[in-house]
Amino acid sequence: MKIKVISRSEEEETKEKASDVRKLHRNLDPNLHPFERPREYVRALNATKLDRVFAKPFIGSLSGHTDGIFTMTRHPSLLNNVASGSCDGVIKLWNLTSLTERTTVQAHNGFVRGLVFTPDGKHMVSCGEDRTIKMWKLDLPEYTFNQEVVSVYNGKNAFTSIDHQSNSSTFATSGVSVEIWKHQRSTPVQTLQWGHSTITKVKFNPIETHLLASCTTDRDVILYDIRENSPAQKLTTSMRSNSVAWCPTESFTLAIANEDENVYQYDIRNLTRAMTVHRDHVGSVLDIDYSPTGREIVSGSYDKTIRIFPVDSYKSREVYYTNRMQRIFSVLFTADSRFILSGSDDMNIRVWKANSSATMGILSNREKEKLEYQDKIKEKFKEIPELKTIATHRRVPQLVYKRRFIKNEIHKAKQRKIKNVSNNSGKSPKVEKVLSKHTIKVDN
Amino acid sequence: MAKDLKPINNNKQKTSNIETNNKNKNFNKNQTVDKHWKNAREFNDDNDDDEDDDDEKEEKTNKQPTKNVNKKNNDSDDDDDDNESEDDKGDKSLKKRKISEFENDKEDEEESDKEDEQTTFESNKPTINGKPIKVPKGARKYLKGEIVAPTGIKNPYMKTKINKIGELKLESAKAAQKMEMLLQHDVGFIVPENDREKTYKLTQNMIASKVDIQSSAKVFDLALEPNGPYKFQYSKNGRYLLLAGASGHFSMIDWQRGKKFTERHLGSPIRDAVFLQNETMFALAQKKYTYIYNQDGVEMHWLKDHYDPKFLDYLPYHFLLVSATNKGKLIYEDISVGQKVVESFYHGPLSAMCKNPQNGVMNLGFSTGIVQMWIPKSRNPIVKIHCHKSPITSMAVSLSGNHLVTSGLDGMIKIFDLRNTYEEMHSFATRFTPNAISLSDTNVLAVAGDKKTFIWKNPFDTSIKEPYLVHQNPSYARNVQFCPFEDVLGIGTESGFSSILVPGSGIANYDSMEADPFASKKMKREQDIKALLEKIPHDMITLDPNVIGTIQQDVKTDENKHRRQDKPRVDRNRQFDPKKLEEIKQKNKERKEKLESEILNPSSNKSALSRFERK
Repeated sequence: MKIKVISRSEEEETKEKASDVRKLHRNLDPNLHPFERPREYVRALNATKLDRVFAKPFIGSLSGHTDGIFTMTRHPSLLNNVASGSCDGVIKLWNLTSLTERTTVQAHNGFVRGLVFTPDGKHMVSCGEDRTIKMWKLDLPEYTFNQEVVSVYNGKNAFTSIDHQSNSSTFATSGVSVEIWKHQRSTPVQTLQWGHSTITKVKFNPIETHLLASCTTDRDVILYDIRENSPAQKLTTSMRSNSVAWCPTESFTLAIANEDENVYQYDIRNLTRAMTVHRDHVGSVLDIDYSPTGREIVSGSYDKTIRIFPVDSYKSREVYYTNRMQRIFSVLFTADSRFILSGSDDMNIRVWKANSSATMGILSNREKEKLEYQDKIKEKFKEIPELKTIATHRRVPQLVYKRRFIKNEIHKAKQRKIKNVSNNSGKSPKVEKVLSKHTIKVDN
Repeated sequence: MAKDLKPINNNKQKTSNIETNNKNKNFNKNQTVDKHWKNAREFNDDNDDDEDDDDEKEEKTNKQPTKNVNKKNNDSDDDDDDNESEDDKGDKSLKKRKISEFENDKEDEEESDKEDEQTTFESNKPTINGKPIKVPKGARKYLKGEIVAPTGIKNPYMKTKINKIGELKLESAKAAQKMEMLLQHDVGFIVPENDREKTYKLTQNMIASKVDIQSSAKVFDLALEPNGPYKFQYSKNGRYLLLAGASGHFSMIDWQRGKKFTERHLGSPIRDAVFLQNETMFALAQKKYTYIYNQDGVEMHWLKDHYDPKFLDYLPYHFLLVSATNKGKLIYEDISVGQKVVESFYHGPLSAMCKNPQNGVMNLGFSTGIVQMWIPKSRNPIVKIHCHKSPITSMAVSLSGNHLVTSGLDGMIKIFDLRNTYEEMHSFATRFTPNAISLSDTNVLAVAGDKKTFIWKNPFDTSIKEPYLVHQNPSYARNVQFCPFEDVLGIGTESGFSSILVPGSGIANYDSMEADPFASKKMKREQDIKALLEKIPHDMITLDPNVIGTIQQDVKTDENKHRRQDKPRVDRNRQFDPKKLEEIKQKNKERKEKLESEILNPSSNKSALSRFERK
C-alpha cells in the first residue's frame, strides 16, 4: 500500500536563508477565492470613491497678462513651452515646468488674434488686428525671444487667426478671406474665398496637410484644399461655429465648437450628419482642442466652464470651473495630453490636470500596476448605479445647474411634442432624413 | 472479509441489472438506499448481535420490492445472455451520466470536460464572431461566468465589445490553467497494490508508520478527561486549533508546533467556538452570552444581544459573526464596527448550523428535519428543504458550495444539490446515529458515530460502496472537522480531541493571498488591512454572489432591459378607491412641483463665497 500525505517544511515554503526573498504561493482555483466578484465590486467602489476624494484638478495659474487671453499655442517639440497672446497685443512665452514666464513682448497694436510656432520650433508667427503678421525668432536653448522681428508681412485687412502647415514653410491666415503665405514671400501666395462673410478661424489638418478648415461668421464651415484654387466643401449649421479642430489621429474627423452650446464631430467624408454631438455646456462653446491621443476633446465655453468629452460619448467626463474664472476664450491640451490650459477673460491662464485625480510625479511600477488594475475594475463595474452616480456626479455652479435643468425641460418638451403629434395624427414621427437639425446645408 | 464480499458483489451486479431495466423509469430510491445499507452493514461492528437480527428483518423487507424484477430477470436469463454486454454498456453509460452531474468536483474533471465540449456546448452554442467556443480541457473551472453571445444586439460597437469580453474570458481561463504548472505539491493518496488490499482496513498506526516523521506526529490524542465533549475549530489557514469543552474549558494552540497560546477554565458551559478573522481573536458561545476573547484568553467583548447562544459561525469576507440562539434569534454582528447588523427570527428547535463558504448563506437545520437557508437581507428563510423525517444532527457544505450533506437522527446521510434544484441527489444509510459530519476541501466526507468515524472518499459518486477509512474513536465522538490544507481530520470526543491522518483530504497548494499557514507577522497585518478595505456589505449576501456586474443574457431589446422579468401578479378583484388614488397623485404632483420650484427659485440665496464663511 502506497501512502502519501501533504507534508510541508517551513524553510522550503518560506525562505531557506534569511537573505532570501519570501516565496509567495498562488493557487488560482476559484474555490479558494470565494466572493471574487463581490470583492472586486467593493474594490471598484473604493477606487471610484478615492478618485473623487483625490480629484484636485487645478494645478496653478500663469498670471502676468494685463488683458484677456485670446489665443494660445503649444511648441511642436518642447513640452513645457507655451505661447499666449492677449487682447492688448502682448505675447508671452511660458515655462510650464516652473509655471513661470519666459519672455514678454508687445507684439501688436490691438488684439493678438493668432499665434503659431513653425514646425521646426525655431520661429513663432503671430497675427493681429493691426493687419500685420510678425515672425519672431526664438533664442535657443531657452526658447525665449527678444524684441527682434525676423520678418513682417502686411495684409490688407485685420487678421482673425493663423495656422501653420506642419511640414513646410506655408501658413494660412484668415480675415476677409483665407490667405496662404510662405515664409519667404511678403504677399500671399493664394487667396481663397467662398461667400462674403468674415472668416474667424482657420486650421490645417495635421495628417492631410493640404486640407484646411475654416469657420465663418455666417454659420458656415468651409473646407479648402490648398493644392486647388477653389474651396472644396461647405457645411452650413444652424448657428455659427466659433472654432474648429482636427483630430490628430483620424484625418477625416473634424470637431466644431458651436454657438448653440454643443460641440459636434463630423466625418468630412459625409458632412450631412454629425458623428457625435457633445451636449453639456450651457453657454456657447468658444474654443476646442483635441487631446494629442485623439480620444478626448476639451472645450471652453461662455458659461465659464471647461469640459472634457471622450470622443465617443455625448456626455462630458469632467467639468472644471473656479469662482473667479471668467469666459474662456481659448483652451489647449499639452502635447503629453496630461494637462489642459485655459485662457480666460480674467487675464489668467489656468493649468489643469486632464485626469482630475491623477498623481503627479514619477510612479513606481507597483503603483502603476495598481492604478491599471483599478482602472480596469472601474470599467468593469461602471454601469452599476451606485458606482455610476459617484463617478459621474459633479458639483457645478448654480447658474450652470439651473440652466441645465431648463435645457433638459426644453428638450423633454420637444420630445413630448413630437410624440403627441405622432400619437394624434396617427403618423410616425417625422424624421429629417438627409440632414440632422443642426446641419442645414452641405455644398460641394 | 473478502469471502463475505463476494456474494454481495454478485448481488451488486444484479441490482445494477435492475437499474438498467428501470433506466427509463425514475430511479427507485429504495433500491439505492438498500444497496448502501448492505454495504454499510459490511463495515459496521459485527459484534453487536441484537442489531444484526433487526438487520436481517429489514433486509427482507427491503428486498421485497426488488424480488419481482429479479424474477423477471431470471426468467429471461437465457435470452439475456446475448444482451448482457449491452446491459453492461448501459450500466456504464448510466454511470457516466451520473458522474457528469458532478462536473465541478475535481475527481471527475477530465470526463466532465469531455462531456462539456460534446454536449452542453453544442446545445447552447455560444459563439465568438460566429465561431463556436471551445474551452480546453481543465480550463473550464477557471472560466469566470459563462461566455455570452451577443444575440439580439444590433449595435455593432456593442456587439464587438461583448465578443471581446468573451474572448478575454476564454484567454484568462486558459492562462489560469497554464498556471497549474507552477503548483508545487500534489495531493495525498492511498494506493492499494492489489484488489485484496482495502484502504478501510488501515489503522492510524499503519498509516503513521508509512509516512514521514513530521506527518506521523500529526496523529495524536489529547486526553482532556472531565471537560468533554469537545467542540473545536481549525483556523482558516489550518495552523491553529481552538478547543472548547462543554464544561467550560477552552484552549487555543498552534497544533503543528505544539505551542499553547492560552488555556482557561471558565466554569460555565461553552456551546460553540469559532475563530474570527484570524487566530488573534475568537468567539465563544457560553451559557448566557457570546463572548470574544483574544489569543491570550483575555475577554475582550461581551455581546449582550446574543442571549443564550447555541451555534456560532463567522463569515470572514463580510466580517460577520453569526450566532443562532436558543430563543430563536439569528444575529449577525459586524465585528469590524462592533454593531449588530441584522437580527432575524426563526421558529422551531435548532439542531445544526453551517455556512456555505461560497455565498455566505447560513444553513440552519431543525429538529423537524427541515433545513432553512438564511441571508441577512431577508426576514424569512430564502430556501427551505425538507431533508429528513427525523431531527437533523449535522450538516456540511462542500467548498465549491454546490453540495449540501446532511445527517439525520434516522441514520441517513443525504446529499443535496445546491446549484439550482435543491433536491436530493442521493442518500445512504449508516448503522449508527451520525453525530457529526464534515466535508473536506477535496470533498472527503467524515461521518462520526459514537464509536467509529467513517470516511468516504467521493461521497457524491453513487458507484462507490466502500468507505475510504474507518477510525475507532477513543470515546464518543461529538464533532469532526477536516483541517484546511492538511491531510488531517480532527475529532472532538467526550474525552478530548484526537487528530488522525486522512491522505487526500486537503488541498495541497494554498494561496498566500487568502490563507497562508506560514504567514509572517507583516503579512498577517497587511492581510487584515486589505480584508477590511474589501469588506463586502452584508446585504450583498445572496444565493448567487457572482451575479453583480454580469451581462443579463435574456435581454433582447432595450425595452426589455427595463421591463420586470416576472410580471407582478395582479389581483383582478382588487378594488381601488378612486379618492385615495387621486390623493396620491395630487401628493406626488405637489412634491414634484416643490422640488422643481426649489431648483429654479431657491428660497435662500447663497453667495459664491458662502462655502468659505464660518458657520
